[in-house]
Amino acid sequence: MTRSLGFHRHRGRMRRRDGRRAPAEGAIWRPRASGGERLTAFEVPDTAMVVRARLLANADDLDALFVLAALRAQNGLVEEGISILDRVLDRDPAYPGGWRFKATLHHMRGEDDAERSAWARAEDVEG
Amino acid sequence: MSVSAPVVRLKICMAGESSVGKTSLIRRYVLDEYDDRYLATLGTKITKKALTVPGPKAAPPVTVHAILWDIMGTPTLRDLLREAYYHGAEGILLVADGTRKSTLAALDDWSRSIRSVAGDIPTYGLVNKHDLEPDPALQPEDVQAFFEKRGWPWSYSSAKTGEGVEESFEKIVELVLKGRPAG
Repeated sequence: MTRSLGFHRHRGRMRRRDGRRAPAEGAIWRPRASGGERLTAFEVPDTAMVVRARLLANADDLDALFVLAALRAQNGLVEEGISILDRVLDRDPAYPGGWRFKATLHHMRGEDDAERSAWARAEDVEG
Repeated sequence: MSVSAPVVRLKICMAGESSVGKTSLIRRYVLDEYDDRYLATLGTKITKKALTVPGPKAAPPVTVHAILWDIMGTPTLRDLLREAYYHGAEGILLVADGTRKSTLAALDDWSRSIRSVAGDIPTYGLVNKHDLEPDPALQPEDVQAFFEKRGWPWSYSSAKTGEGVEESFEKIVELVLKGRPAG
């Protein structure tokens, strides 16, 4: 599933300044797990779909797990988000933004001590 | 015995909609490489680049370690992740895609989100993909007016050809240094 931005469709494929077609420029490369084909320009893959594809390819993909935690929290499943984020931080305690995001999630749950603790870890890790 | 010049560490956040070329710009700047294939960034990627720039107010050149945060362009997760990504940022490189007008207007929301965490920090705008035919709905005077209205210096760029890339990264670093208290 992709979300089309809808621009330039009437004009077909993008062109370079010299008027030649630019088949590769701006084209979207789908992750291998979803077929690996090129999409037309101006289509942006749905984030949840990209996360799913990346986790299918590698269940320990930390970037995908981090975003999965965010998607879960955004859908109201904050506790599950924290649990997924903990997996990320177990594997990489210096994951960029990880501890501050954990602090945010604990804040959403009203867990003040856990929030402060995560924030302190963030200060240690990122300075 | 010589005393080595201090190294200044700066956190610079790249922001803008998906597929505007944030990752490609960093790749061009840091590695001088370009890859046509698009892989959406998930989360954030941090890249360090050491550079030497003129010191502010005619001071000697300064060695800077720019920590470039390449943040995924998913607007729906922007506010949830703003503390995680923007805390401690000292400069913003806002990137639009010159072939998609909507990506320029979207910079306001990115700027707002970053400023809500990092305060009123220096901002530099980039209108990327200048090697391609621009969106006909995006006239150069509109682009100029957009950035002028907000007081953000800006330039066109192309991660593919390298146009304007190095200059823009250096410019945002200079802007940040200029705004820092002396010493």
